[in-house]
Amino acid sequence: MRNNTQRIYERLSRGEFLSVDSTEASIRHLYEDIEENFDDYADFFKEIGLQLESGNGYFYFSRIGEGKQSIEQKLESFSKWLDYLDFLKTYNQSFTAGYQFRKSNLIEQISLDIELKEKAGHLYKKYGVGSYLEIVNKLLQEMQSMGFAECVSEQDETYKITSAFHYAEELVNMIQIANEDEIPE
Amino acid sequence: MEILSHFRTIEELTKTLSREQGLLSEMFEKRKLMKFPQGLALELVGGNEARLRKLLDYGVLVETGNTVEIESDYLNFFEEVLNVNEEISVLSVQECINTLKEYIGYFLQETNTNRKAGYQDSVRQLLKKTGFRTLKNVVDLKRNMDNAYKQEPNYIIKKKKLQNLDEKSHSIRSMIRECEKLMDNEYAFFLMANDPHMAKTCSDVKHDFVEAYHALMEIDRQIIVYINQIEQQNQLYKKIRKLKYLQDQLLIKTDTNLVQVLDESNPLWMESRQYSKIRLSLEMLRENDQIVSILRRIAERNGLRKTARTEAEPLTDEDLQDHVQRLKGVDPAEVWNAFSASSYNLFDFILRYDYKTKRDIEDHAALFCQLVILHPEECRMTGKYATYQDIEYPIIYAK
Repeated sequence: MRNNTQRIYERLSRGEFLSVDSTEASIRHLYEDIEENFDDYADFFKEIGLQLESGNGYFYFSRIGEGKQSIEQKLESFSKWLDYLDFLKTYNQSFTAGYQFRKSNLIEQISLDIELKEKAGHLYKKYGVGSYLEIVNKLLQEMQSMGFAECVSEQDETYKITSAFHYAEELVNMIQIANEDEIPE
Repeated sequence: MEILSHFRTIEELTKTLSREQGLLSEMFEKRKLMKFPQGLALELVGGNEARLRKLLDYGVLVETGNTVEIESDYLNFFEEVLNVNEEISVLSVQECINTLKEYIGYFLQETNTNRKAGYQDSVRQLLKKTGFRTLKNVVDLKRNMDNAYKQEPNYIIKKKKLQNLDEKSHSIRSMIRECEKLMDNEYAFFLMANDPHMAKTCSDVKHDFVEAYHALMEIDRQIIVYINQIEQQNQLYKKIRKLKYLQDQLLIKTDTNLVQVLDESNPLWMESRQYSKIRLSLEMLRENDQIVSILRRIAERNGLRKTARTEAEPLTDEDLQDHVQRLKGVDPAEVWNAFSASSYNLFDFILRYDYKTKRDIEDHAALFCQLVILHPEECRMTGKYATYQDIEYPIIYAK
């Protein structure tokens, strides 16, 4: 068993992603360790039913065999993230790994852009989250807990999108739409 | 604006420019930042309106409302000479080549040796200029491309800019080809090849071209990468919007292979957050006082004050001392045993027995009956009766 097994397990088992371009040295260290000893770690986690998956600059866990969640739950998770992606890409088309933005700018854009405003309003409707600040806070918190975003400056609340965000994009790319040309954008 | 006068000699021009160098260099430095207010310009020429007027009259500066700017001929001149022009002007190279062709034509037809030499010089200068311009264009192209990709915030404009730069790179390339063809195939160059200056210039220019060509290849590659990246993001953006549309229309399950894709993988992030189901070790709870205080803190933080409050206070010393409470109850067997060893009659014995608690006459009577009932065989009835207070009782001895 390797040194960082516990630390890796603790992060990944929460559904978090480890990114190669994290600003936190400890996460980068974990990433590098997995990269160097991928087979060892993968074998170990396989023993407890977890598949260590690697992507374009990120690692995450998936469950081997039967998942614990039903297809409905998965659809719900996906649709939640589709809403987020739609919202973020409307905010800025170049919103992808490496993108940096200030929280205040995002909030300002929401109040300027009617489309963004409407999308933001729908994000957490069922939780009764009201103000744009609350919505953005919740979204950022969720993205941070997944390891998709990191706060690079507490002072002016600048956030950076990590390479784990590629995962969401790749997931979208995997989906094929029937009669794609007929669907309005 | 109408130009009223013009410089008649280079001397006049350079002197004027040199006299106003303060103003001109200031204006040139700020050419991209702001419109230059007339008041400030006046200050820089020492408050002498005549001097500013002269510059305007001679067409060095032009007046637009309250501001002045350097006339475009002069601006271009400065930029060209100082090599700071960022614009990629394919046209200027094209112009060079066209003039080059013209002069080659003159050179071939001229019979006068002196003039022929003059044309040859012109051709050489033009060739040099072409090489220099091409190389500079390529350098600018590279810079513009990086700027367009990295700094242009608008996606559509960014893509358009890159496409335009791509076109420019193509035209530069075709121009290089044209010029090379000219140098390789034009009969005039064979005639001129004898001239060492000419030969050197030709080789320099060819070298420039090769360099430019290599740089162009790299630029092309980079532009393609950039455009592809943008295109990729665009595609993704469109796809997300389409999927979102399908989701809003509740068609996403039927019109896509989403279910299949999701069925194939079980990423942990899609699972609802798992709570740690590890139990506390009882062993540790027993042995470690710290844990108890931690538990209490957690309970308090979670608003479980009640549980925390119902816990009893620790026992005091007083609590730990013996507290003896005597009950009224008597062991009938013990009393009987004592009685059967004595010579008293039962009722007298019950009255005298040391009970350790206070008993009244009713208790005595009850015990009397109890003992008689419990030990009927062992009682010797005398058949006599006696009276104690208001109770009449039989006199009974043990057998």
